Amino acid sequence: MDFAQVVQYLISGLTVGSIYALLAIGFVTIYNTTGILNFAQGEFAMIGAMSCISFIGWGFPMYAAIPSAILVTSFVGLFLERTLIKRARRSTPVHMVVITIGLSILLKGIGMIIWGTYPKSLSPIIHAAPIEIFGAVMTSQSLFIFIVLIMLLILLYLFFDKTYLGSALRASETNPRAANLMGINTQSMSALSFSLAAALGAISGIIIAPMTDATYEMGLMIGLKGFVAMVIGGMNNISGAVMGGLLLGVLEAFSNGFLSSTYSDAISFSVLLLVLFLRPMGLFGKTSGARV
Amino acid sequence: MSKLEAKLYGPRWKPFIGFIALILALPFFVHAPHIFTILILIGIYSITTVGLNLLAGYAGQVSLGHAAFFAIGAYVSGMATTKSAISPWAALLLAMAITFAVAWLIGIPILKLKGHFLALATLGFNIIVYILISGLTDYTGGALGLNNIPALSLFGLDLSDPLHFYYVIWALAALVILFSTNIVRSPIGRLLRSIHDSEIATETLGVNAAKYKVYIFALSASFASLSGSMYAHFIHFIAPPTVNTSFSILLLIMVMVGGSHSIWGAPLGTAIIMFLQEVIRNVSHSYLKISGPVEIVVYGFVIVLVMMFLPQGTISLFSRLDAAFPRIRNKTLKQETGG
Amino acid sequence: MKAAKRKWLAMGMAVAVLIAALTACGPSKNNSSSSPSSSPSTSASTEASNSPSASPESTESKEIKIGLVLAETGPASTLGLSEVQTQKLFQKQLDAQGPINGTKIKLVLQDYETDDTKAVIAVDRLLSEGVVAVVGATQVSTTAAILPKVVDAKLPFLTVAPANSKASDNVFVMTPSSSTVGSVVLEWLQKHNITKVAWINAKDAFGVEGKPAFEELIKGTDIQIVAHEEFDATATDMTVQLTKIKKAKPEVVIVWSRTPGAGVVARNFKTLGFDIPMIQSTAAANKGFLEQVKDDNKNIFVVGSKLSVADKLPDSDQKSRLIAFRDAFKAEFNAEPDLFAAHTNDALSMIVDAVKAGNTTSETISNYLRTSLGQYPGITGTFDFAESRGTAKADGLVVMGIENDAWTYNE
Repeated sequence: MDFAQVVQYLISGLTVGSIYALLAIGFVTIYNTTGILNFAQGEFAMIGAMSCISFIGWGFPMYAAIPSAILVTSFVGLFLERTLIKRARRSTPVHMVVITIGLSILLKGIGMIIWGTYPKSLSPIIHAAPIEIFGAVMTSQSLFIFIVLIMLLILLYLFFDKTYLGSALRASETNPRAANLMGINTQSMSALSFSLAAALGAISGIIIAPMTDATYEMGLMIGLKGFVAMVIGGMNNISGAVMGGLLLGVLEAFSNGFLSSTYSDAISFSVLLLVLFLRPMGLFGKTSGARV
Repeated sequence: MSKLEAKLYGPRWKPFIGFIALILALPFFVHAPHIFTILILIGIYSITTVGLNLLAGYAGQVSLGHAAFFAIGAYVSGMATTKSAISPWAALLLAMAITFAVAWLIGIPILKLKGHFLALATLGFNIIVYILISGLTDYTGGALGLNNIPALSLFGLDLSDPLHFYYVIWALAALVILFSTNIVRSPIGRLLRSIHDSEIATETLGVNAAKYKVYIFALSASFASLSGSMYAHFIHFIAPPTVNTSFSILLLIMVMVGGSHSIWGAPLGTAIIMFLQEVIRNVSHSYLKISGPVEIVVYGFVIVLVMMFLPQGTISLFSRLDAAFPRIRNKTLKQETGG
Repeated sequence: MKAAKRKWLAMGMAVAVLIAALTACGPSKNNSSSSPSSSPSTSASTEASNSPSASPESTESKEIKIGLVLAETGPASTLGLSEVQTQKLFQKQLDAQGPINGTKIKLVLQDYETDDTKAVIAVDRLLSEGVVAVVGATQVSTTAAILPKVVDAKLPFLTVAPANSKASDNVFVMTPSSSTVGSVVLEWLQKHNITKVAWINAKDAFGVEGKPAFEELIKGTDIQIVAHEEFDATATDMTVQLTKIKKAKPEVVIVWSRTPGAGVVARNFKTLGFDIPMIQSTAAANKGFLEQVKDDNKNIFVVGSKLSVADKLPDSDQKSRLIAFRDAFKAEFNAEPDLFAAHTNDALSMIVDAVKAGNTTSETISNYLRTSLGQYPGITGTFDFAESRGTAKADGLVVMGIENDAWTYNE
């Protein structure tokens, strides 16, 4: 077991982990503002990636395609929220689960109709030679992913803590009634959080695509892992979700590397079960009992 | 008491008789073998969905991992009958026992969770089982699956004939439904309902809610195992892709679309989903000349719509027929209670 | 009691509608080889039997049907698409030719949507339509799932994925077995004097079959597998596995996986800076793979069909046949045909051959294929069913390199 190997695993793990973290942020946003666990989050990533590829195919330059794709996906999120989710707000948890599952199936089908079944590739955003660190290799795309994650974290922190809108979102989560009394329109907050989550999902999709190619069914597994990341890290806050994502990615990489590539997923999900049994609020979550 | 029971739970024997009549009559009308296969599959899956209905509908616990129990049943039956000389029926019962035990053990910690967390935990369990099945190639055939699983025979009646299998599987389904309706009407059923409404309140009454939840979880798991074993003996083949999380999700959808508040919702929902796939395919191929992809879109759409506008499931349509004639119903009530 | 009566009436109507739908759904024609054997059908089916297909025993057959079970949708459709296209092209060619000895041939396609259970139902539908032969399925596991049913119905089963030909005399495998493909790889290795190989495969039905076959082949040679890794077929990053392989210092990395996994491995391979060659299985011999590796595809080789490099072959009978097929396919779909298209085409043309020799029933077609076909020059390769029904020969395969985003012939 040499150092270069460990570093390589760490890099792989953090890269993959950042992707999970990005998705987990989307989950957390929706969960905390609406109490809904959005099974269709992975599909937002798919739509973001595919739209971006389409825009580029139509001749848009990269710096225009990406924001357009994010915008398109946000609209999709908004549209879904206004038409379907709003009416289903009063359903039981079981119903909500099935509804969002139905949504993810719907989006997957639409994705297949629009974009077909062949994997599509997106060229990396930064074209640079891989960097060597301590004997291991890091691609420019990996570096880019880290940078984006950090930037997003900063942006989101500023948004939630320093802006009115962000505080309004947080207020609707903590106490909808009080928020209403303060003049905050909780309905719009719900719509906003869906659009925000969709945008975050789109960003994750666009970032992953150069590494793994986009297909209409890419949403399922990464969505699931993002979910797991959120639970492991803590469902109440974004930083918890991010830590959960990174942790999950590194755990995967190391169990792939040192234990067995066959069973690494089983290990990740066993860890999930352990966390759920022993510390359901997540490793980094605050022990505010309300949501569990 | 039985009149009170009828008021509380709905008629007991009438649906059952109608159901038996329908099952007996269908082979006379259905000729196309693929429809027959679908009917058999509905029978097989209904056994699982009835169990899931008990769990999700009555006890209110969401499971997104029942495919794992289905898999245990199918694989134990498959492995036992292809690698040893155990009688298939004995293997089937063995599988159910194993599944019950596994579900009991895993249920104790898992059922301490609620709502979304429980769903996620069961999903995780499903994935772990799936990976184990794919990985333990020497026993399970791994990704290639188990081949040549023999057909069953019951008292000399060869069950590789679809018609015979049809009757046997629906007889089993009927038994399972009967058993479940019994549970629903028993003190245990009321206990489960009360746990669903408020677990805390039930516990203050001195009831060990956890024990009952685990019991129902394990019971529904053994139903799934029975389903899985029958599936293996019907298709004569089992491979991992059949039992991954999409199947668990499908099962839950069947239960919810049918209606989680009545046992009959389960077979109804199963039938609806299976036929929906067939109908969409027919319509899109013959009339719209579009292939495959449309089905998924319509499918997802239907699920969402049903959940939004018919949250009690399709079975509620039948009870609404009752509600359409309230005046006459009240008169009947007065007559029966001796007024 | 009016309420109860009305409720029963409503339920009764619902049931009646259900029964009518069930009866109308799907063809009502009974095929003696497929109906439930003791079906108590007392009266004739409610739908007029006007389907033109004749029962296999009728001598006045004006049309016979060949059934295909392929994945037109779902994850396996990346492989299934060219199969479906081939079927469409073939039907067009058949229609242009006109009836053979008075018999029209109709191809019936069932999309099984990458779901094994649905494939079984698809076979039922084909059986009820009275097909005389079945071609399928796109995936290995699906082929195994439908094999019992087709064999039970005693239809000739021409498989376009590897299958167990020992299960029945009626099973004919169109694909080169993992062993056959392995032998092509082995030849290449020996030509380049390579002895240390690393093996990485996907954990699906296709991926896991490669290594055991290869290990059999290298017994007695000085080639050894110095590292073995696996990955989930839908995984998105294989750097960890490749890092482990790098440690073992192999001279070549052999990959056994379908796309997109195959492409991801290739890309990770390049990123990690390997300077040894990589050989991919036939499952990577498609356009999707070329797309995935276009940024860096030096030293990557794929075992594929000679179809893809037909122009560069020395002139021969085989070359002209390959070019003819390729040009027809290209003209119709503006795309290059691949190995899967070749399998489908071979299956269909064999059956047509049988029909031309005057065989129009399942039994006679099967017999013909088994005994009278001889050495059949398929696009996949040469078939000799007297020798083995389990594989095509390796003469249709070749190790291809990549240049300018297209396949090249490696000498």
